[in-house]
Amino acid sequence: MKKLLRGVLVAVGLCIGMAGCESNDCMLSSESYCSMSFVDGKGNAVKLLDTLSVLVNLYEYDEYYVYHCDTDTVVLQEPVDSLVEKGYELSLLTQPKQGVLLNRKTGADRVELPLSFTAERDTFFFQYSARLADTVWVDHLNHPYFSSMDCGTVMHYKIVGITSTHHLIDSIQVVSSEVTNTLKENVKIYYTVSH
Amino acid sequence: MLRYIILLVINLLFVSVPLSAQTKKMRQVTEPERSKIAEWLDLTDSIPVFQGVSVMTDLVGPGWYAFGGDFFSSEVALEVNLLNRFFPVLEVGYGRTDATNEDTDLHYKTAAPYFRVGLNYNVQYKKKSPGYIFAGGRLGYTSFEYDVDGPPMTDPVWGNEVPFRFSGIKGQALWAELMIGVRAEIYKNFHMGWSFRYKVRLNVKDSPNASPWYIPGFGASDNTAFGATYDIVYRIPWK
Repeated sequence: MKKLLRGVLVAVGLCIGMAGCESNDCMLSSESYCSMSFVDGKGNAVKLLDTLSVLVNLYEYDEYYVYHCDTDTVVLQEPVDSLVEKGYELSLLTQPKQGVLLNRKTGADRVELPLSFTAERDTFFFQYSARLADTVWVDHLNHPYFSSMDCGTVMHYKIVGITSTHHLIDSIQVVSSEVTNTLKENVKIYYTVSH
Repeated sequence: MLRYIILLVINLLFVSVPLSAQTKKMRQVTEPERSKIAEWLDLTDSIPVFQGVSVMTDLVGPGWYAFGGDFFSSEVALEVNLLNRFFPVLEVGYGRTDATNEDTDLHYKTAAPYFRVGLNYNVQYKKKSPGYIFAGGRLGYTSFEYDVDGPPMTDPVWGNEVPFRFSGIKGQALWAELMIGVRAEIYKNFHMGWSFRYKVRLNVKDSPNASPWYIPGFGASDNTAFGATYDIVYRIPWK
């Protein structure tokens, strides 16, 4: 009987002890990133020899004042009345501001890119050099997600389509459409590798 | 009675039954073997199988809430005593919460019934005492709806905000519990006792927008949780 009671007490103690050791197991990242890895035609990882910058169009716009006469075009950030007086025709040009997600990274073999909370298509500009770039379009559904009371909320996504230009990119493939804050490979970008 | 049921089952298992064109050779259990099995099952000291029925309720759930906890749960259970050794149990309860986290400002609300079925095993079944020490298991299930809302989410890159408010999300949960406990008679036919439970989620239905935080009958946790009950038991007079 004493042995039995001792056993029960030990088991209860273990239960309470284990309960006391419960940890806050929130994910390290509270943001979800679309992970894109770079591979060659055989699926082997490759590192880009050029530097890589990734830019996106933001929802803010830059305004430019374009003055045009027969042979001359002047683009300015501020209006200049004297040009109109000289016979230039004024038009307003708006262009989306660009945000830099990755700035001239060398030897990149993958990128982790944020997706928009509200848009259903994001456009990423992969800039390899001043004259060489690819554009990647990611179509996605957005799911605001409740993780827990302690861990808060995070945006989850489901990739429903992906396309790109083919300057350096050969093809692009979704390998896992669910984008969450548990980082895993979502997209493979196949590059044309010159030997 | 139980002896005969078990021996019948053993006979059915071992007797030569023509299975798939007699491919398997089976033989009749001999009388010495039956005696050995009955001895191994401790059925030699026969008592009536049916030893009574008890109803009980838990005080920890309402007590926890009364002292400021976020969760309220209340349950009643029906327990059948077989041989003073096996106690099949059916537990029916109701759990609810309406909680807000001060740090994250998230609000979660749900209320739903839950059910558990299982068995307690009295490790002191040889003793004739009215109390007992037991180990047991439960299988729990609930189907529920929950609301969750919080501050709007702000996109760190593009800067726009998304409201966060979801109502009537449907959830289901199936879980298992391992437990140990004690019970003692405090007055004629009235018992009191503790049980400590280790709970494991077996299957929880998530939605695209949420993973249930508090599950009625299971509690609030991730994949595992601990629980305790303090039971008031009334043993229905049987004979």
